[in-house]
Amino acid sequence: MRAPHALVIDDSRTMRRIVAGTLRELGFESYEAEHGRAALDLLESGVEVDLACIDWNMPVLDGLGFVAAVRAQPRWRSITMMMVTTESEQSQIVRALAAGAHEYLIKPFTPDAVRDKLQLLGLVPLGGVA
Amino acid sequence: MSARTAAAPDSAETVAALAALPDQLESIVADVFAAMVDGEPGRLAPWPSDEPLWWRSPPLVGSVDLRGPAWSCSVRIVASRGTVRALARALLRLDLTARVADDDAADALGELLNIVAGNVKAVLPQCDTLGLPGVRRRAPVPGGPCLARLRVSWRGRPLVVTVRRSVPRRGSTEPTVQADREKESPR
Repeated sequence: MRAPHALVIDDSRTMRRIVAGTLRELGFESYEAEHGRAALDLLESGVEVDLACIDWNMPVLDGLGFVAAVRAQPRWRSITMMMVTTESEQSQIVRALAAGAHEYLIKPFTPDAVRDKLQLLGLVPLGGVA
Repeated sequence: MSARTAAAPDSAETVAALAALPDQLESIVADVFAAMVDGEPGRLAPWPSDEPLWWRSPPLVGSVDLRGPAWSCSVRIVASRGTVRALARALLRLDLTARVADDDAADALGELLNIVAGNVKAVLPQCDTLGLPGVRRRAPVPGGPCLARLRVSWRGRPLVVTVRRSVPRRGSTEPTVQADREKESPR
């Protein structure tokens, strides 16, 4: 059975490693991208992912721009998108969800918070790994 | 002669938020360290001394701007290189003796700063744009009027977090910091 794949998009290497490490514990294999444009390049090259974890504030193309670009492409409609960001105001959460993000995780977060969100999204079974 | 322009008075909402900021900053930093760095609360304590911290060698200074239509500020974290390397190991759950490259240490400090500043932004009215963090090695310069300062001990190592107001120069839309000789004091 194929392990689920995730795309971790953050301009911080540290945060990419933290998120990818947490996802690995949950059974995911991860690709990493340093901004939204690099992430789109990966998808356009044929990389297939089930989940994208997306920072908001990034150079070149920010997280909101990435979400909008993915939502504009029917071929990528199966990708579940979760914002992972410090943007915690209600107005920003509404903007991200309106643009097409499925879930929203505010930094700082714990590994348990990541697991809980992915369980809500049906990407991790209750009490187990993907 | 000062190049500063007279600023409009703060709204009542801003005045209230700034009054609460020191306590908010302490709470934010505690939450960030508990969730991301230590995996448990209670590893931060007030730094016990008012002595200068960075006389031996220049520390790493991480800084990021928060901008808004009415006013702007910067959030800064200052720590020694050794402390920043230890922070990077803790963030990445690395062994205590694991080697950490300078770039990785700076990136870790920048991300920690980004998380703190993003949460500071959430409690400040009309300060709605978070910049990208930068990290440099230098002696910390005083900067603009201090809105909040936290001087803490993390695993016995000093670490300073400040929020300073920026003041726009005449004829410029870019905020800059104003000279301030305020003495650093522990919280």
